[in-house]
Amino acid sequence: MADELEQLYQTTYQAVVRFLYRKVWDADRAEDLAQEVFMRALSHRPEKPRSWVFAVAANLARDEARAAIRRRRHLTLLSADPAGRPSASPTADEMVEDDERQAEVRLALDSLTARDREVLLLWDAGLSYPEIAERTGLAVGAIGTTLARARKRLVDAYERQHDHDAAAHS
Amino acid sequence: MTMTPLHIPEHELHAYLDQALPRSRCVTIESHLAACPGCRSHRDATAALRDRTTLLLARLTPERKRIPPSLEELERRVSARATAPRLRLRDLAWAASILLAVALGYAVRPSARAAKAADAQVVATSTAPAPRQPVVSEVRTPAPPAPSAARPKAARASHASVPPVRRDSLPAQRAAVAYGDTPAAVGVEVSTDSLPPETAPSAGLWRTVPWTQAEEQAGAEPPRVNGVPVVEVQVKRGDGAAKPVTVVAQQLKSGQLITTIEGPVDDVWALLSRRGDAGDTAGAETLRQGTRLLAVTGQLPADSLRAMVRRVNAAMRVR
Repeated sequence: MADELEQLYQTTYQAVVRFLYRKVWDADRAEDLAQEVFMRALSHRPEKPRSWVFAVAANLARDEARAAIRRRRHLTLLSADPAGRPSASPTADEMVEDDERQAEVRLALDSLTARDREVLLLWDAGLSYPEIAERTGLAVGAIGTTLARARKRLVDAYERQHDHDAAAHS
Repeated sequence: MTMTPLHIPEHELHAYLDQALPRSRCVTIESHLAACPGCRSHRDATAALRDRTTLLLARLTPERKRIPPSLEELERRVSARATAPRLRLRDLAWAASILLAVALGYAVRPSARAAKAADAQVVATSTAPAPRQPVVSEVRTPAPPAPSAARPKAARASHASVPPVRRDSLPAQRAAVAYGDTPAAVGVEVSTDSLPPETAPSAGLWRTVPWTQAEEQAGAEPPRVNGVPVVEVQVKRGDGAAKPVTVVAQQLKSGQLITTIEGPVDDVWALLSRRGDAGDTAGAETLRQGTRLLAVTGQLPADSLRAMVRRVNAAMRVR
């Protein structure tokens, strides 16, 4: 049992970080949350640890989205302190600092429906069709259809975005 | 020759390429593909789309920042969390030990010179990794997670347990605590004695120095967040021409501590990962400049820390 979790940790930790990163868009938070996920797995010892881990990760990411609002408030307080005034709004900075190519994919991903996005991210995190079905409540037979649509939309949205950006730059 | 008249629907091509179909279904599909050029080119287009998606998503991979802790380490944290209330008791005991130390400080003051001489010897013989357990501990009762005599209790809890500096609770040792702009910000009695000259730094040893001596010790002013009171400066000199590692702890008005670490990439990583192993959950933001790494840690949101890293970096570039 412990061995199973150990192996899962070795093989899945980075995938969980990536999965979380694509939801919270903060590498450090993603790592914190991924560690939290595995700490919970250690105390709960779930029966199907793989899909359990991603279920908890998805929940934490959702809570995180709520917490982000609180943190933004905190940052405002901090910047009101003359000693700790950041140079500009962090989100603006973030966007500049972000790899531009990454920002384009991120926008494309955001344009998908929540369900398509979830299925695509779970697939990319290494879950099987049955595991994705279990996580999302979809029928196993519907996963291929969902993935087909999600992939097409992601690439289409990215290309539109990319062409648009390229036109704006020229 | 038509083997399977029905063309393969798109979703099934995806499932097929995703290896999510039973083998028997794959055989049917493969037979059809072999005979149907239309479905073959459809399959190729689907495979290209699939690859393209994978490639695009791969861009959304976070920069690897920290060394992941081992599962055993996570297990330790789980059990530490279960016993959290006891930790608080320990903090109280530790706070009491500081009060005791301060009180003793007044009583022992005349003999501080002698104590310092003894200190010097210990400093000279202790090498870097001697964390947690103080070498000399006449005064302190329990060993705190991140021992620092002059750190206020509230702030201490959030401080990164960075370099293993040996410290004890004698008043002379508290000379090691330096203040930047507003000494009154930290409400603990501080001795203004400077460190005795016989504890001159040698390579590889961590030294806690007053801010006024920090520049001299480090060769340059240690990077820090401007305008925030400095609580503590620690310097590790490199061998020969190697640049030092500096750790500057500062206290925000909110009472929270932030720590700015600057040094060779490997050294800073080592500190950050040791911090993680010690169960410190404070966030860390880093910025690499060639072979050097700049890090700011603290119990603050990542975007705040990131803003600080940028400020420190900008200030360093101006210099």
